[in-house]
Amino acid sequence: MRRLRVGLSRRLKSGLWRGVSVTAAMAMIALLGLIFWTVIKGSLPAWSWSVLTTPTQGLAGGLENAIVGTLWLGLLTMLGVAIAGIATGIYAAVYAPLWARESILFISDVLSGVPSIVFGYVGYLAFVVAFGWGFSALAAALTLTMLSLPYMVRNTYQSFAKVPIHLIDSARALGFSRARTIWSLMWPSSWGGMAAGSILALSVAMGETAPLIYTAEWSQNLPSWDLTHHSVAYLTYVVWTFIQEPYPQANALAYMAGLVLMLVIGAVSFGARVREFGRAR
Amino acid sequence: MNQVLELDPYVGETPAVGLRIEEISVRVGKHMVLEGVSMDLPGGKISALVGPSGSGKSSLLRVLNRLWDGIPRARVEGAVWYQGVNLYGRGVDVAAVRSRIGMVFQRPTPFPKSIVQNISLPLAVHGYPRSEIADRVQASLKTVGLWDEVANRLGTSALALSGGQQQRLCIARALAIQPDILLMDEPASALDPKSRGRIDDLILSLRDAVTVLLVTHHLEEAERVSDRLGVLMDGRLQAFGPTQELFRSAPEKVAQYLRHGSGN
Ligand SMILES: Nc1ncnc2c1ncn2[C@@H]1O[C@H](COP(=O)(O)OP(=O)(O)OP(=O)(O)O)[C@@H](O)[C@H]1O
Ligand SMILES: [Mg+2]
Repeated sequence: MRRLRVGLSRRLKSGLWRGVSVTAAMAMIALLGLIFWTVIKGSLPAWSWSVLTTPTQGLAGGLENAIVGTLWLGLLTMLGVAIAGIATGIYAAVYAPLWARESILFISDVLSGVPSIVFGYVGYLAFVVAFGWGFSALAAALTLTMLSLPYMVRNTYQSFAKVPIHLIDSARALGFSRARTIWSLMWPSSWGGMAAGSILALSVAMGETAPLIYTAEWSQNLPSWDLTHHSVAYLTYVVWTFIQEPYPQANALAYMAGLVLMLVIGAVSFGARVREFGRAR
Repeated sequence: MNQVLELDPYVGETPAVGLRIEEISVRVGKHMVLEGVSMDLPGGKISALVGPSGSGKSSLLRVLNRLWDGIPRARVEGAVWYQGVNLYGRGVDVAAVRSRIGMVFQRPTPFPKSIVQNISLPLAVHGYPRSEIADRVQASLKTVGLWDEVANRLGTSALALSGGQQQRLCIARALAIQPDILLMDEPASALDPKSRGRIDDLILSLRDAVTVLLVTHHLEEAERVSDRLGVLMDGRLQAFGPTQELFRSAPEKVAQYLRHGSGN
């Protein structure tokens, strides 16, 4: 007869695994804490509420233009990514013949491995120069869209492919068209995955620097809401350039920009989590 | 033009329409799934289809409402005649075919929606006027004996129903759009004996109103409910005829199968 009590070695082993995984989780939290600590400490000299309400002036001033610019670019990008990514993902999951589906997924995997600066350069050559839009919100948002599209395509594809085949079969057997099946049955259960995909794409986009330097340039002013021919400010620019300046107040502003960016991205992901959590119950 | 199946309003009083299956073969790649199957499903009668696992029973049902369409490497040859129209002829409206020839699967497949929506959605898809939908939902739930059980929770998720209830909901969903023919693929095999009995009774109650083709593993079930019996082996129809006659006398191979059953 098998012993009912778990043997000592089994208990030791499971205790060990537990220990390892708890340690790893703690290490991750500690790392996040360290990052926050560094950023907060660095940004303290620049802290005042007016940082949020004044634009940058030279190497000083506040971050209003950059914050609004980042949100503006993020919004445009999310729009582009959602439309293009969902359409491509649905095509791959539902309509595409096998070879087309595999090609889309392959290309999307390759794209997600391309360095972002390459996207910046391509975006510069295509949108800024060839299309003649100049440094602009549209050029930047389209570049960010290309860059974060793979995440959206993957997520959409996977959440649509997860819909059980017997459900689709019974919809077909009832005479549902494909469009109807997608809209009434697949869309509702894929919604969570698509939302997660666009939020991931949004955070990736907002955290980028290199492609924006090529396409949005930089501006001391609030975004003009013109889609073309007006450069746009964004937080990562401040992080990237101001940190290299020899002036302490510029460095502090760079840290502050990093902190704000982390908080914005954190808030967005947290919002998505809360939704997921609500769904799970 | 006569090849196009038109969606006339359903006339409930006309005798149920049958189906003629003519030399149907199905190939998936090089694999022959069905070979030269011909049979007449008489209108308003219950025909049962039995045969060993893998003999092609489900595959034949999938032929009849064109579920093989769009399956990579699958080819269907032959003809299926319904009201003078070959369902595999040119210009046939597949959605219309499927609205006239319904299907119930082995596992209950309710949509992850409310009980009402499971039935109202197909009704809406097929253009039933809004004002009729509530009545039709109620009528079809009554037909399958589910109304009393769910009347006070129509808005709750269909996934919360028991397996037997889910399957009856799926039958109600198929019946709501008033098909002439109902294909049932082992509809009771995933259920407990009591729910199984209810499904059998339900099938019997459809006689005359609907033409039924029932796939089953249970020979006793086939014997109890069916007027006609077909025996499929290795993709070929070995026998097809009045159920009682077949059980009395059949070709040796078939008789052996009918005596000993498939064992599952
Ligand atoms: N989509 C498909 N692609 C390739 N082969 C298939 C496909 N569907 C069925 N087949 C093949 O067709 C044959 C018949 O299968 P089918 O499901 O029709 O049998 P069945 O009589 O319904 O069996 P069971 O009693 O186990 O349900 C099997 O050999 C199966 O492998
Ligand atoms: Mg089967």
